[in-house]
Amino acid sequence: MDRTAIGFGEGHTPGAEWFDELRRRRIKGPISTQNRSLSRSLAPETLAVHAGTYEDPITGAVGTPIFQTSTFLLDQASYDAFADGALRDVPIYSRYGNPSQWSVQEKIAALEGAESAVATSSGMAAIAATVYALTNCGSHIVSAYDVYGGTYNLLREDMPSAGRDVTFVDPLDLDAIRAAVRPETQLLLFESLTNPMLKAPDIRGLARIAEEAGALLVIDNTFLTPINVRPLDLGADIVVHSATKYLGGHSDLTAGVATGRRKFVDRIWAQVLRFGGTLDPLVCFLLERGIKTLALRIRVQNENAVALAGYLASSPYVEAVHHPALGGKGHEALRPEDYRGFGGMVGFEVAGGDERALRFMSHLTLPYVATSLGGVESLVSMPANTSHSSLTRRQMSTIGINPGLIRFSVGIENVGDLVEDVQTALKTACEVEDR
Amino acid sequence: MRNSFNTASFSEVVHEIREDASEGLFRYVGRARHSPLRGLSAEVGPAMFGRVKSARRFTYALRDPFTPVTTSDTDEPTPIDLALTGIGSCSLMTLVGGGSAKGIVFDAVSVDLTCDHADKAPVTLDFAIDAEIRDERIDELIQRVRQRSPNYATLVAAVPVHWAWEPSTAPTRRGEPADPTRSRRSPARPGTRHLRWLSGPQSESFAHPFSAAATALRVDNPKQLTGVDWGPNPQEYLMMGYAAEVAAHLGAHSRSRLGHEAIWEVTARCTEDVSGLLRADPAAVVHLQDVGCRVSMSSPAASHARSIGDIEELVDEAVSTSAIGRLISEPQIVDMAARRPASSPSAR
Repeated sequence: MDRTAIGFGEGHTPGAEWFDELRRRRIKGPISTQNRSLSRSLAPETLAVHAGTYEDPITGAVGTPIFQTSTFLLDQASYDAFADGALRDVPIYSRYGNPSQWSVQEKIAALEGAESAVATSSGMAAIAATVYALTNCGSHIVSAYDVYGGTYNLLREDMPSAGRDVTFVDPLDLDAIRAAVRPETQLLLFESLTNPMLKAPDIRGLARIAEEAGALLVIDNTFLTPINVRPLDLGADIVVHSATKYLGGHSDLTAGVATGRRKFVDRIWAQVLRFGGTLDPLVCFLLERGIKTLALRIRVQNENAVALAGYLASSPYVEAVHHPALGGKGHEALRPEDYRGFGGMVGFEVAGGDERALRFMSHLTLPYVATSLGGVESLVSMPANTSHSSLTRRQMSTIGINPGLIRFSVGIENVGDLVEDVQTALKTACEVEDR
Repeated sequence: MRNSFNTASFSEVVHEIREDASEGLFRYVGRARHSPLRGLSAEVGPAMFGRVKSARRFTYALRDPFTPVTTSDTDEPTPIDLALTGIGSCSLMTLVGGGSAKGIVFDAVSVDLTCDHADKAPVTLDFAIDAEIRDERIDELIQRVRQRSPNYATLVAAVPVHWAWEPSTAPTRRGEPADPTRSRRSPARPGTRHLRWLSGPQSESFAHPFSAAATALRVDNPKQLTGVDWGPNPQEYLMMGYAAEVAAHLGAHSRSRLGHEAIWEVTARCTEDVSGLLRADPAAVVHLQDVGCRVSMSSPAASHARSIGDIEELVDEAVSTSAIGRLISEPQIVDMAARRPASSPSAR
């Protein structure tokens, strides 16, 4: 096909007389014939292990091989793909696609109940590509004022110069969200569970507002993962992840993913190509291998977090605990039937403020004091001096970050050991050192 | 030439529509504003492509057709320039797109348009097609433009045009479809444009006779539909032109008819069932549908305005005397022809 006729002649076959006789249509994937394509109705535990796995026809390898190559031999299929502008489904060059990417993409798409996914070099690469791909210069975006700091920075610092206006609202206030919508609103971007206050927005309610507005709903499902909630089933159009966190699960990789209908993911993929946020084949392998145990890890982290939150709620050294299982502010709209669990995050305020909270962290012997989350090992950090340090006290107070707030990413350790360690550290920080 | 990372062509659109016909309903908005201080301007509003919104920002300062031309502003387009750009680019896109779907490779295609507004004067479209095809194929392509171009089909059909007036303190008034028998001669000047196809759905529209130094109006599809947001699409140009012409009329006659200046805002809308262009559904209507405009006025002196009836009468007059409105609502005589440019290889 003549490439100057781009958009018109794709899918042309000899004898075609008009657009209605073009043959190209969207297919799910991309996947090769070697990738396991499983029904999305299978249980997530099964999909996590088997979906997308590359079954090597030469060696019979059970694990997905690492296609550590930047380029592939050109053949007629490659040339046809160039000619037809369909480079996503043929291995040509790893920035366009690589079987290692296809394997992990298919696994995540299956888990989220999606047609397609695109893996990226970080969660922010996925979010940035999604926002740019699905909006136009002149559009409007609605998001949460307490959205993840990286996302907030993108929306606050890059969108105005890119011609996108952004309104930040309370993610729990559906009336405020509806009121923020304008005729040119194109995207609603929210998180299934917010950072660090663990608010649980009403995803079904957000989807209704998006549909009424003719806008798309993008949900960052990093904190809950498809094991706990599948936003696409609740009406979202696109789900994004920082795969660095729970999906990878071992604090040993940086990756992201966007997943949904292929109609949208194809555009996100094209944006990823132009931004250059492609995921390296070795990291694809690590991510795909990590996801095989996702369901097991999440089940334990769900349980551990509930147990830890329960203990903290009874501790005299703690002012407040934030976790969906405890209910209370931020969780009024939560529909338990939509969730299998609430993940491994717990927020709590150490009585006495930031100084005591710092002391508490220094006395922990099991969890590491580090940013990030979602790994097999427990991590603790204080939003006030890490992820949200650029906010004023007043801004922190507005979104609920009170003095002494700790963000605890609960791992898969024995929960008894964790609770005992926390108990000791709290007592030491709040009693012994106060004397 | 673009780097061909397109992942959505008309082929995917055809198949998507066959699975869900509502995905083929495209809705367009063109807005115009006439202000005593800032003059005449037009912009596109958010478009819907099935269930997907495309909210692009394209704004144009326009030359007011009711104001004498000065030497400094002759480069600015008028409402009829926008409308002819919409008609010409739609025909161009249909010809090149449909031809490409048939496997024809085009080197260059352009079209010259004229629209005189005189009674019975035909609208003319003269294509120059540079492609290695036989003359019969060119005739086939021209015939397909007549059958499948949504804006061309609107030009030759009688498409009802509704209007609504939105006074700030009273319920919205709705007008009947413009009555052709009440139409007066348009004050708009004759329009001429030269359009040339660039790539995919992209084309450029120039004042005619063509001068490379002239400012071009860029035409493109949105990135939600095979384009890259390089400019408004053909239907949006037509709606902007229509809205701008009505706004210009209101601005020109506001003081004499109402006794005060006012800011007039006009929003023109239409629906296109793209199944007609693509032949995804052979029974689908090709021409634009649900064409209408909504008018609102704001003025510090509004409280001194004459009766609502006076305003409604002015709005009715602006809508019914719009030359662009008549291009839409009254069947036009159109002369369409095609030739090969002098440099073109002979037919094979």
